[in-house]
Amino acid sequence: MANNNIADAIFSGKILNTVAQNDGVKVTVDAFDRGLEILDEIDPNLVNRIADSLSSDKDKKDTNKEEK
Amino acid sequence: MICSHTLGSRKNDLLAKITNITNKKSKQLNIKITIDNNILADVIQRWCDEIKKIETINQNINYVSPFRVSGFLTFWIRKLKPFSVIKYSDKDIEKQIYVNEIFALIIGLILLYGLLNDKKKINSGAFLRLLTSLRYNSMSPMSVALIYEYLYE
Repeated sequence: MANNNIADAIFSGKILNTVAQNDGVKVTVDAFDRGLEILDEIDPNLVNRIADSLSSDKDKKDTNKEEK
Repeated sequence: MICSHTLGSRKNDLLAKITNITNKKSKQLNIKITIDNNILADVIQRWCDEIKKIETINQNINYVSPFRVSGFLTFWIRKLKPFSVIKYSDKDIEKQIYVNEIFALIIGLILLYGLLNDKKKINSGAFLRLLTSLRYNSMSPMSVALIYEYLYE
């Protein structure tokens, strides 16, 4: 009996609907332009830091190898 | 053709916009890249399908959350790899290797900021560490979306 209740809940979609999902906004191409402006304003060097992080990661790995 | 209820733009417009942003940011990275438009079209199609799936499952929401929208885009760029570097120096070899992960993150983050319309800075240290993880570890579209959500809050 209990198993049937679980199956009924699953089949009715109640289980999936209990997963919290915040409402979003409609996506238009303007969102990319707005995002680009915000990123350039609050963190203009992020792209360069991404590139630098790759080199420093490699250096760190090399250093760890040497230490071992 | 409009992608989905949430993605209210034509697929070709989305493709052109992502191409445009990638070209702009590649100059900042000092690399010359080439974009395979067929693969990028596939990225956009998969991205739309993923969002449509969420819309079907969660009929109580109007639009899919910004974290999922941007996380799914990051995932599909990283998975299908539409970008390659055509000109780089020896010191830029990492950029050549990671070019798709770099742009997957940059484009995803730009879209996230644009959708949230908020100037709160994310945890950029963790964001950078995500770069290598995107390339070498298993990820799903939803796991990238959840990582974005935790990085932001």
